[in-house]
Amino acid sequence: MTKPDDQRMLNDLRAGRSEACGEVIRGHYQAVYRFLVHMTRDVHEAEDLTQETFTAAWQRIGAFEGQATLATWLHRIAYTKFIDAQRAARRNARLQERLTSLQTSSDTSSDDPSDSVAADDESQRLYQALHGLEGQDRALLVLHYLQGLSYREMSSVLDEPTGTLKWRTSAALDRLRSLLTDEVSHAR
Amino acid sequence: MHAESGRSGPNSDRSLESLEARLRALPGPPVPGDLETRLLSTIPAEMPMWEHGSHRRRWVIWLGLTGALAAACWLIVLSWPRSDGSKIEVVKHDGGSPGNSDPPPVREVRQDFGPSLGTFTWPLKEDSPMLASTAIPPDLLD
Repeated sequence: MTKPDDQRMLNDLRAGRSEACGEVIRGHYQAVYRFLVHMTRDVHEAEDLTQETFTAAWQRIGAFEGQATLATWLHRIAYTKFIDAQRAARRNARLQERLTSLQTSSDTSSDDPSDSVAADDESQRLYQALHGLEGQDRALLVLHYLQGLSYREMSSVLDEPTGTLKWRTSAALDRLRSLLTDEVSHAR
Repeated sequence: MHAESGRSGPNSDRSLESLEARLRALPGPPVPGDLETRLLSTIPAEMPMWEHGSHRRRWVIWLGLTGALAAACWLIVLSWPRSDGSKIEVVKHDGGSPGNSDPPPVREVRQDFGPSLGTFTWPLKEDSPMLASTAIPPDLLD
């Protein structure tokens, strides 16, 4: 089930070679960071969570069984970190205010990842619609279409049955289309 | 905002397949250049001990230990009569072995009633001449 590269990295990790950690980082940090950018919609928070993800990964690496791929395993940790951060943000009223102010000024904020991503207007619009979705819908679409995870891998990340994920991804895609259609009607 | 950008207009192809394709082709956000260096600095000097016992193995170990414990308990239960044989034999041979030198407790209790009860024999002796089916004498009601 694991890719050959993953297997080799795992063998190196099991042998206690810390250089293998560097290899894991180089092989996966960009995907983890991009996933977290889409989830948090804040590049700074995504950077922090990426660091937390890998720190947690080194702590838990001993328990990694190799049944899933390293990418799937890291996405799961990253998603857990994102959920934890969301919960902490909800508990913290001051942070909540800060987030609200960030959202209201998101049009001019340089932290908005869609500003730096979209080379063309179409991508920019798609990004904004994607970031306008609920967190769970966004997670499904980002994991499947942007990160390229299969439904089975998503099942490991989100801890939900494959059939449910297929259905929910389809519904999320419908909602994204509705958002884009609404935007078109407003633009006209 | 979009009308002012000078483009030809939003994409009119709104089918789900097209949307899927556009999502897949969406460029990823740029990754900060120093992020890799920062992440590399988080690698611990000593790697944690690899847990050779995976969850499945742990299950097997737990299952084995539980089974061994259950088997040990069962063996203790089975060997218990051998350590206190006399008591168990009394129960086993109660009424079945007349030659037993130690009478069972129940029999002792019976004997406490004394010889007044007599020995039970079958069939019962008919001491009374009156039988259950004896007819009532005709002068009895007068």
